[in-house]
This record gives sequence, C-alpha cells and structure tokens, in this order.
Amino acid sequence: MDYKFIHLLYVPTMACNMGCKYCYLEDNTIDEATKYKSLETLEYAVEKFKNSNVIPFNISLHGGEVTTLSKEDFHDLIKYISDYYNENTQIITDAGFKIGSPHIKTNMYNLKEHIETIKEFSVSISGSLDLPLSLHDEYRVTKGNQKTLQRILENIELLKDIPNKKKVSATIFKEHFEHLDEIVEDIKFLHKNTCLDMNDFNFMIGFDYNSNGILHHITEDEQVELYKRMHKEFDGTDLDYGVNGPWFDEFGPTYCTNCDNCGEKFFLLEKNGDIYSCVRGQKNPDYYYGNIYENSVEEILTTAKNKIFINHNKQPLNEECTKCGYLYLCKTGCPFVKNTYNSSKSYTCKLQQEMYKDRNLLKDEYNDEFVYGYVCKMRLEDKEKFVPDKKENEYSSLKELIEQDEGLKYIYDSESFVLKVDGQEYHLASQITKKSREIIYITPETKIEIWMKKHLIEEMCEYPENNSLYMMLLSGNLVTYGDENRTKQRHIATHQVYKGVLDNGNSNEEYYIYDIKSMIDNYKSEYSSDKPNNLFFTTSALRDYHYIKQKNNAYYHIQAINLPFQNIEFYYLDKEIKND
Amino acid sequence: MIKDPETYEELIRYKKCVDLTAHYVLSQEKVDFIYNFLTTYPKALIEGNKDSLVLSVTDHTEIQPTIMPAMCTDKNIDGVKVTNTAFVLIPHYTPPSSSGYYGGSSSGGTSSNNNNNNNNNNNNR
Repeated sequence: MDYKFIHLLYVPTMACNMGCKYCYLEDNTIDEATKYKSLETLEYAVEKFKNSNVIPFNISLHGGEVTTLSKEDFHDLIKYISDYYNENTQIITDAGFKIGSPHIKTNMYNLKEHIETIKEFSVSISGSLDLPLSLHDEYRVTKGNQKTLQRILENIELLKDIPNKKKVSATIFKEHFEHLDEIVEDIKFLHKNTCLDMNDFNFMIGFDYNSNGILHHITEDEQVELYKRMHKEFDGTDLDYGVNGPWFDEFGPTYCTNCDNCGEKFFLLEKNGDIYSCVRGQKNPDYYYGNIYENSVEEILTTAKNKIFINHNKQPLNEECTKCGYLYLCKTGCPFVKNTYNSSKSYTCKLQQEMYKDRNLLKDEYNDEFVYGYVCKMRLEDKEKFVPDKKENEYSSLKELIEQDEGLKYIYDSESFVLKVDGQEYHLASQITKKSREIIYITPETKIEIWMKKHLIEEMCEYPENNSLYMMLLSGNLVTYGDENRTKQRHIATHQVYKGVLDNGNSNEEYYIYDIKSMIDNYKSEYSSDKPNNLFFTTSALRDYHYIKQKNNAYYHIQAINLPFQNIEFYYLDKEIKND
Repeated sequence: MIKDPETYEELIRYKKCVDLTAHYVLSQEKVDFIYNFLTTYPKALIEGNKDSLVLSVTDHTEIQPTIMPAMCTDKNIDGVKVTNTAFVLIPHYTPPSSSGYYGGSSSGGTSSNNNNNNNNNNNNR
C-alpha cells in the first residue's frame, strides 16, 4: 500500500487562559462557536485521511491552550491519540517514524488540572517560558494581567515524578536579547533546580508583527551573537548536548521551515474542521487549505501543495541563495516569514550558516545541480538560467575547444545569426550548447528573414566569393540510414546563397538580410506535423571547417557528433493541411 | 471544447496546446483552460514542471498563479515554457553520477517534527 504520511497539529480549542503580549493569535484566543466537539473533529479527520491512505505519523495538540479544555475532553483526546498510536504502530514505524507519547504544547499555567491524565498517558509536554525569567511576568500574563511565572514553576514541579518528556522553549525578542547574562543564569537555574533537563530546550525567534509594537525582532547579527554566546557558556558543560543540538535545531535542516514544500507534509486542523499550514499561517487565507468536513482529502492536499508553492514564489529566488552552497539544507526558509517581512531569504540565514559550519554540514559540492533541481520543482524562475554547465571531462571540453579555436566560435555563438519572424528576433545558438529548445510556429502568413553577420562570409575562407550562406532543412520525421544505421532527422533540402547574391540583396551595416519565406513555403508538404522540424544556418566554409576539425580532433569529434550549427526548430501550420 | 481555429493566431495557439499534450497528461478540460488562458492574457506564461503546470501572467502580480496538476510523461525534458510568442522545451539535465542532484524528488524537512513559533514538539524523534 502506498501511504502518504503527514504531521497533524490539532487545535481542539482556540481559548487561552493567558494574554501573552506577543501571541501570534492576537485576539483570536477565544473558543469559536462550532457544532463539532473537539474529539469528534479529530476522529473524523483522522478517519477521512486514513480512508485516502494519508496517515498522520504524529498528532500533537496545540492551542489556544489545550489545558483550558475540561478534564473529560482533555482526557478523551489524549486517550484517542494514545490509542491511535497503539493501533497504528506498525504502519508508522514501518515508514521510518518513531512512535511517541501524546504530545501537547502548553503555557503550563493550568497543568495541575490535568496532571492525572498526563500521568496516565505519560503525555509529552512542551511548555513556554520567557527568558530571562525576570521578563516572564512582564509579557506572559493572564488575560487579567496577572503574573504567571510562580504558578508555572510550581506546575513544572508536579511533573518531576512522571517519566514523560518535558521541555520548555523561550521566544527571544530584542528585549530579551538585551539580558543575555540573565538568560545564561536562568538556563543553569532551571537545569539545576527543576525537573527539566535543559538539554532538551529550544530557542525561538520572536516576530514583531504580532506584538503590537511592544516587542522587537532581533537582527540576524544579534541571532548569531545569541548563538555564539550560548556556545561560549555551555560548550563542554553538562548542557553541551543541548547547545549543540536541540536549542537551535529549530533553525536546522530537519525542520518544516527547511522543506521544499511544507504543504506536502504539515497540517494544522482546527475544531471546526478548517485546515491551515501551521500556527504561523493559522487564520491566514493564503495558508488555508480547506475544511475537512467540506473538502475531499485530495482537494486539501492539492491546495496545500499549491498554496505553499505560490507563497514561496511571491518573493523572487534570492541570487545569494543560489550561490551559497547551503540551499540543499535551507530551501530559503519559511514562506510565511519571508512574505511577512518581504524578504527572499530565511530570516535566520546567518544563524543557519553558523550552525551548518559548526555541525560539519558542508557546502554542496554540486550546488549548481541542486539549485537547478530546486528551481525545477519549486520556483517560477526561468529554469534555463539554472541549467548547470556540463562537468569537465578528462579531456578538453567542447567549451574549451571552442575557446581555443579561432574559427569554431562562429559555429557556436549566438550573435552570428538572427532569425526574424514577424518582427520578433531569435538569436540562434548551436543546438549542442544551448540549454533550451525554442520552437516557432510558421504559417503561410509568417514573414521570416535570416540575418547573418557580414563578416562571416570571410571567416575561415580563402575565397569568400565561393562562400555561401548555407541552410539545411530537416524534417521532424526520423529515418535510419547510412553505414552506422543511425536514426536521424530526414534531410529535406540544402540551400546555398552565394556572396554575390547576398551583396546585391538587402542588408544593413552589420548584417546580410535574406528572406527565406519562399524557401520555407516550398517544402511545406515535407514537414512533420507532430515533431518539430529543424532549420540550420552556417556558411559553407564554416561547415567545411567543422568537418575538418572533426577529422583532426577526436575530442571535438565525439562532442560535436550531431549537427552543431545554429538552428531553430519549427512547425509549419497551414489551414489547408489541417483540414485535410 | 475549443471551437475550430479560424485564424492563424488561433491555429498556433491551438497547436501549442496540442503540443503540450505530447509532454504532459492533460484532459480536454485542461487543454481548453490553457487555450482560453492564452487567449485571455496576451502576456500569459505557462511553466511546466515534473508534475504540474503553473499558469501566470507576466507583469500582473495581482493575478494569482493557477497551478494545474499535470504529470510530465516526457523523460527527455525537465520542463516547458509556453507563451503566446514562445514554446520552449528544457531538455532533461543528466547529472554526473556522483553529484548531489536531487532530481526534484526530495522534499526536505526530514524530521518528524513540525516546528513553528510556539510549536516545538519533538516527541517522536
């Protein structure tokens, strides 16, 4: 069975008992009226996902604040998740995921209320504190503006005999950053004096867009300063593991922010059935994927993938990102944050680079290839610009051979021949070296001229009078012939126009201008209608030069085995032909 | 259904849509949509990836791109770009065997964690 595995964050209530001054939900922390019960929606969603072979490998509870649920509702939800893990252990672990305990994100203010359920199911706790602790009561207060720290520390104490995972995280704004000394001391304090193993702790960077102007975003340099200060204090201590791991893992390559497309994997479900990307995108229409009661799973998955693609492309691909060598790890970061700050780079770019360096994550040796693959999958930028150059062979590359040879450049450059089709210019390049194939559509009404640089008639040619503009028409239809039984495009015609004719015809200072409409029209019955036909341009002298070079230089021969001349592919459309 | 092309401009547009079907699996409904999109927007831009076509309008950022699921069946190309004036194929890039080229299949975010502001649950790592 081919399953798709997702991470499901469930918000069983939007209600919160606190009124933190930088809450991302702002005024949305009240429970919304819905006819659905919290357990009912989760059960329905999981069943509907499973019926479409979509398996949540992780179901975590988030708020609002989940501990504002009644004891019964909280217990039933936790029990459901625990049972779900037990029933689906095989399928989840077979896919390489670990089964954990039910997990909640909480402010820990009301933890005491649910301590029995937490014990019964060994609920994994991820709590929030402000560091330094002296600022906690300034920003993390109740809706009535009451202090919360003391009660939270008491609640942490309640967890000391429970063998569950328990951790805290701290969100850092500039106001917190200004107290690094205190932060260091408070981490040590919590590690020593509470049941928290502060190795399993993590920093988050606060966003000022939802702090009502009270708190301020720290700069990238300040992020690095925070990172370096923590390493200075804790490397080699009993918190060495933490500072080199979980504390900053949020910004590392294994998190959702570093996905190609997080819409393929991460989902937030609300009690009313609405599905968003995550807590950052919650209540934002650009990150709304549909409603589990109203939309099919396929619709939700498709919308998710498409919206994240579109959101990533609201900012152009940063040129620095294409050159940095770490794109394979960072993928330019979280689209929500990039768009919020009108930035095309990850908001923790410098911090990430420090981490990669410290963690021996090397720059991608084949970065250009990764960038191309990434652009092909995730970007609207012109792919052609990112196609990597062919890697060097043991012998001279075609590019080097061309650079070393006075005559070859005229066969391979994109300046010698310009095709003008109804006024539009096509600078023709060699089909061997160009990175894309442009196909034009010609009709009996099309005006089509070839412009050839005048000096070409004299290049690699002892007697220019005997030289000619040399045009080869090939059909898209294939034919196998010759001693080597090669399958090639079938030749239709070769036209040569000698210097005298070019001199007497249309021209400007730089180019001979030759109308090829009648030549094209003459062979209209010979063209393939379903495979592109081909038209090559060179001079007879350059053509000879190419074949002599092939004979004399094996490296050139094997790299320029197909017709290398400047070309354009085309279809010929004739209404009469179509009606036939 | 697209009506029979009456002008060469319509014929070219129609042929481009037909040519797209040589590289992508497209229902008649999708072909019609693409044709009408090209007709409606002179600056329409259709970019094909491995599993979708993205329809956007150059210089009109207020028009949200439309993403059309469409499997590319042509292993010889990595993508396609279609406008009212161009039809461009991007030949498949074959990397050296030792490279880290991911061929568009990796989705990153390998951890089982969803981690966001105020959400860091790493219980099943």
